[in-house]
Amino acid sequence: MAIPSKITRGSAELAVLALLEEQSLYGFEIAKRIEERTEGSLRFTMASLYPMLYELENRGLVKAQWVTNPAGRDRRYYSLTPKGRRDLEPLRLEWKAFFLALDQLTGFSHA
Amino acid sequence: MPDWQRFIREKLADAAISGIERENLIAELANHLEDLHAELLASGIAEPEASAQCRKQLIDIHQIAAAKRSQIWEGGMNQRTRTVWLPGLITLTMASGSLALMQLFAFSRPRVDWFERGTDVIGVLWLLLLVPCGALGAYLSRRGGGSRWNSIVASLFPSLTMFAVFCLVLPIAIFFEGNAYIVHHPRYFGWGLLFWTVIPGVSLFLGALPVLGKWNTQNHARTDRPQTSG
Repeated sequence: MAIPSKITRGSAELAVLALLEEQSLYGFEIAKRIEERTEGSLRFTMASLYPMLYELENRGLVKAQWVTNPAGRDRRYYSLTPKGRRDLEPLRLEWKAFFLALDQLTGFSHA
Repeated sequence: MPDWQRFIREKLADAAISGIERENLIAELANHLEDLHAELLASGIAEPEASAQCRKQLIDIHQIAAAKRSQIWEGGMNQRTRTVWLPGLITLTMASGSLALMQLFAFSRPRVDWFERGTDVIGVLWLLLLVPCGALGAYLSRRGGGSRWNSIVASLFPSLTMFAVFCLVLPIAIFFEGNAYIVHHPRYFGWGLLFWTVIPGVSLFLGALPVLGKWNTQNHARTDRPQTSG
């Protein structure tokens, strides 16, 4: 089941930052990996992915760099900045607290 | 495979984004579409359908361009603040603060008068103090990722500020206050300009020189598109 966009928007930032914590990735890879790992629940369009990446870049949480791969193709790789790494943990805790509260309220983990 | 670069270029024809940022945006989005197109084909989807799905991704391309434009604008502001305004203001504060402190505590005479003997020493000391001030401004700008020109402007900020003040003083005195003194004594204005702008500027620049010497081309390579293999 695809998650509605209102929820996706809020959690997308966490998903991207958590993914980039592991390794640098380019836009298409980010979208693909998130889709794969969430079994299609979180799905990015270009219009939802790139504005968010540019915003994260603006806020100094990620940085982007063009890299030419051995096949000669230029890719714009995104990686986590030290600030992004620092901000990721509190963000994780916020979402954890949010889901815990939601669980207590609705009991969705038992559903 | 469709020419995605051309397709995106046409879509962005009226977007208010230009130069290298426009080319980078086009390249990034075209790469994404090429990958998506290849993946759709690999999954068994027929070419016309794969192309149609890719084209659908670009319905909101102006939203992406707007986000990019906003990023460039805000990024530019942050960059300018980091490399010019902040180092420049620190240099100005240090330069004016050191002069004020010398006047207040070190000497009995409450003002610097370049034309009176005996007070010259304050001016000379101040000029010497401006050397590390200039170095600090250039260093802070360089550390913030500024270009050589950013570093020069940051180090000369006190002189540039004084120059701006002098430029304002002249028309204000003549046109708003009706004070013709400056007009009749342009030499004094010239001396003021020399002693408060040019000579301090030389001191500041001397301080900045060692930092500017260390400045290398990598600092300037902020085009966001290095040719790295990997």
